[in-house]
Amino acid sequence: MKAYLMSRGCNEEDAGDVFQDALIDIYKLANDKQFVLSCPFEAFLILVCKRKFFNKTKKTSLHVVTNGEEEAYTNIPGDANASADEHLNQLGREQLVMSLLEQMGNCKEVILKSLLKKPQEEIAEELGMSYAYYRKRKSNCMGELAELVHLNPQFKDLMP
Amino acid sequence: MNFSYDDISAYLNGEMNAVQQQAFEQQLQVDDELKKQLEEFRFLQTTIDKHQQAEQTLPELKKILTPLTQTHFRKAEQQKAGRVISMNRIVTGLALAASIALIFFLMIPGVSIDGYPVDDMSGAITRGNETELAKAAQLFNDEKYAEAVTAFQQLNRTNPDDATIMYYLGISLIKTQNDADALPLFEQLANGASVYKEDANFFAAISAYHLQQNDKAKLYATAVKKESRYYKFAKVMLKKVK
Repeated sequence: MKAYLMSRGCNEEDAGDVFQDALIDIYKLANDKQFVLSCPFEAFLILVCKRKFFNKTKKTSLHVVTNGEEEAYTNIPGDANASADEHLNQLGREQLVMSLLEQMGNCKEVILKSLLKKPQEEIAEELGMSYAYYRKRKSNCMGELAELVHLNPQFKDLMP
Repeated sequence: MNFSYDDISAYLNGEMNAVQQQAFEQQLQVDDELKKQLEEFRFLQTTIDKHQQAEQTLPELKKILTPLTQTHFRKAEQQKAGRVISMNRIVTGLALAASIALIFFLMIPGVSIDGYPVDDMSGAITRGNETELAKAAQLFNDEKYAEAVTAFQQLNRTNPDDATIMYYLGISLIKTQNDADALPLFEQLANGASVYKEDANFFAAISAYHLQQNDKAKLYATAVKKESRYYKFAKVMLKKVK
């Protein structure tokens, strides 16, 4: 992976960041221990690194070198690639949900708190809301988030 | 009947009373749009919950990864000093590979088909709702599956056609390694018309797989649709029973 990234014009430090961030993304995806990897780990890791690197080049002025050796570094056999793609899309969908949630101000706080493993009445009190209002607010916020996700063209692209 | 996000949230969080829950589930059977909204809502809730929990343990992971990354992806300035590869670096390299492999071996359940998700049962005990069904749901949600089996079996005797009871009884039976009793329940659901029909294909497959009835496992795993959240597990199973 390091050799691949460096062959694309990435310096070693940036390659390290991409690699570490990719591992962290996969950690988050698998955190509920319900994620089942249906392709070789290597195939998935490579795809996540490639996407992270691609996004990095979009954010910075990093110039991507194309030297026709792509396959030599990242050739993954047959259906492993399709499965890895599916996982990558799942990761993309989840990251998009989290980034949309980030933009939701007070709703973000209500949604995050509502998922804490403690009595909902207690959460309402912490938020300074009556229980009835808190319940209404929580479902309105989830509705808003669902709407944002729905309207996001990127999300549609990531659907199977 | 129209149901709002408020209703979906109440259903998923077990905040409906028995009458409301029954009405909601009846509507689910005929309303594809509502079914889709329920799935979306569930996806949002589980995604946020998962990522929020991961954030809490992330500092620990970074403590392991950061020094390893620094060792193996040297900073640009250091590269100018020339390239001498010592035995230490080779040993550390092997240690990095082993550490990463270990981290992911521990974190990811690999291709285990038994890593499938199971939702909490709605309608568990809340104030004013302490029926036998609510108690059984509570046992199920608390993962006290052996006790849940007993509770659901009693309910199943008095309500033999109740699909919800059959479904959660079936899962409790699988969780207590009683696949022989679970399989006929899921076969009945898979061949019926309840809201559990789709998921029942997967659970019938997994019961059959545990019982080494591979032809049956294959039959039901093949019936799991691509849109199902159990699809990837079914695919792994199909590879194993080939």
